Amino acid sequence: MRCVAAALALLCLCLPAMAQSSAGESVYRRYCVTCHGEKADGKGPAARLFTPPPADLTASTRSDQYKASIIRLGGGAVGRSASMPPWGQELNAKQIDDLVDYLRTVKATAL
Amino acid sequence: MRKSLLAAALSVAISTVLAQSTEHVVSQKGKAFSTKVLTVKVGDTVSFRNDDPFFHNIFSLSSGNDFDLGSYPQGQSRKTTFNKEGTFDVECAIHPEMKMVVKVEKK
Repeated sequence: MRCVAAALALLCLCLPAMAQSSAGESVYRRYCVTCHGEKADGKGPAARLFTPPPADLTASTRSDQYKASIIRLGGGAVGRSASMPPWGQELNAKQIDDLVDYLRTVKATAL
Repeated sequence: MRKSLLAAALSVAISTVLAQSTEHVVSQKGKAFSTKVLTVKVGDTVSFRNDDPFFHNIFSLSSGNDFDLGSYPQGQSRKTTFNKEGTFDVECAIHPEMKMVVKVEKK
């Protein structure tokens, strides 16, 4: 009985984090997958249009803060490829935070 | 002599007019293209004008005519020339619901 209670408590603790990842994944699938690909490895269907190619997000060593900035302001604003659009007018702060959280899990999964 | 020069000049002028390509303007407003389907001739140019107060983008993944015109703010345009016959999907990467088709016909 104690085990069941402990498992339920753990589940309750994990649910918010899972929901957050799920929200970030939805944002990723709607806005990012065309360029960065299903696996976030930079090999989306539109990748062939770009030089340099879209970033392999599974290999990124950038901080969450940097990722949030490049998402919000676009690549050109941070000295990277201008092909990365600025999403700050389309995505709100929560969506960007959710997306950054999701990218962290993608990286962990790839490793 | 004068007559043949005149005829040659006229012929060149007519050919030039016939060969002239047209520039079509498509507006991007309210997260939608001003038309869902645009029919143009080979060699025509289509200019995509951002009439929204936020960024838009233009790209196509259609085989034989794929392109990316980048992202640009209100008041700016990006243009591309369609040099092949066919039907080409055009999209905005920032607003995935924005889609249109450009049908390119023989001149």
